Amino acid sequence: MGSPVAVIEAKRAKSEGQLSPFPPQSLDRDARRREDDELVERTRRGEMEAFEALYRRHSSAIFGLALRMLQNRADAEDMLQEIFLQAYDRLPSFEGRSAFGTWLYRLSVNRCLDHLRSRGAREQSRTEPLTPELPGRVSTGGLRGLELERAIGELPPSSRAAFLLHHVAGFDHKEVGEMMGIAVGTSKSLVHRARTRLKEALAR
Amino acid sequence: MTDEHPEIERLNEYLDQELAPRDHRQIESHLSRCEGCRQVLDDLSAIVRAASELPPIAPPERIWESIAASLIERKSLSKSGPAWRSVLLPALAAAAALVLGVSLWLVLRTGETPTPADQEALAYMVTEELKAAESHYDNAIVGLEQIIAQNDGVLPRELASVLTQNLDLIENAIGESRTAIATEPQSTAAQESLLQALRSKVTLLQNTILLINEVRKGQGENALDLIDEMRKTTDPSNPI
Repeated sequence: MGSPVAVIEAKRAKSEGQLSPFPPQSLDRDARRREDDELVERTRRGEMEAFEALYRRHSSAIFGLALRMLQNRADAEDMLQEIFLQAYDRLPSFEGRSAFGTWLYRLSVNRCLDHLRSRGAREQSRTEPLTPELPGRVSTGGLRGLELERAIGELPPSSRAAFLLHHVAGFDHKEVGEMMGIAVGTSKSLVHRARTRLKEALAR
Repeated sequence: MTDEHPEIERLNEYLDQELAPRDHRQIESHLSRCEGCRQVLDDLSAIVRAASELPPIAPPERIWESIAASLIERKSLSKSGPAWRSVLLPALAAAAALVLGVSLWLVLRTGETPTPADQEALAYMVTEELKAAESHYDNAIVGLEQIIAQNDGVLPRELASVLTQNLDLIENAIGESRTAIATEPQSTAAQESLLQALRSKVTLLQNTILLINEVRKGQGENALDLIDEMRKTTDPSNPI
């Protein structure tokens, strides 16, 4: 049994959403897709509980993406809400050619990029420091998650998006390319550029 | 042979195993001799590893509550469809059936010349059916007007103004038709004009409710398409 502090920290970590990476390693991807497909069908039939289940399964991953993309908690919360309402509206046109999660990521990353473009046009630097809000204390061979979070926030939006989709969400370059409407080679190039810039930023 | 340091892009490709076998071996060979490049590669690897371990972030519960509230509100709005339909459909179906009877009589009139007794009977039937159809339309209109009154102020002022103008025009047509029927109860033109005006009013009120729903949902751009759809489904000649 751990110390009281360890217990409290464990509970806090749980409440802050420090769960297993998405997609969960423990769940077979195909099984997860089948479950999602069933929930999509039930949502189409008007079952609110099914849509809530979809939200519960995907909201942490999408919120992580939105928060890391937008670097502003209030914007990310608004974005998450907009994404799921838009997903609900668009479910009738979801054909199931890709997994629901992939489809949702596509919708999300493009909404975030659109938001950054319009925000960039409105005001150049409204961005607030994100790192204190993020549960990023992952120690990986001396590189702390918190430092990485901060450095990701300094990446150009397209590189940031490609990096997050590929390395955090785990999509391959073909999927990233389809989501962002870019070629596979462009996705690779963006990710490589992101890694190089992150290395430079973390060396400072 | 010079042993130049590979560019960082090449190290990225090496890390992702994207190089041709020969190029891969070349970089590998360089790395075995170059501490600096090994360090760069280690840094890139650490970034990739750390990124894959970044956790998902649970959003606050209030986000779902807000989403659910929006969806429930939409559902209650879409229920205004069935709500007004429940008011409207029986009345419209009855009116449509009666209009069919009147129309049949109008067609018959153009055929063989009826006897005076037939004419009297048919005239009575038309008058009664017309009254009944009018009554059903009136019931539907009252129901629709109640729903619109409950949503007063939802539509933009300009739109509400246009709708009011159209309603006034239709009201005038209804009034003129009734006056004509009072003067000439057997006038086919007057009877058809009244039924047409009543149909127009019902359609306009339906469209108004539809617009209210779309405006409240913030999707006014969908309203016109939906109105077209509604026109088809509320045509009394095609009972719902």
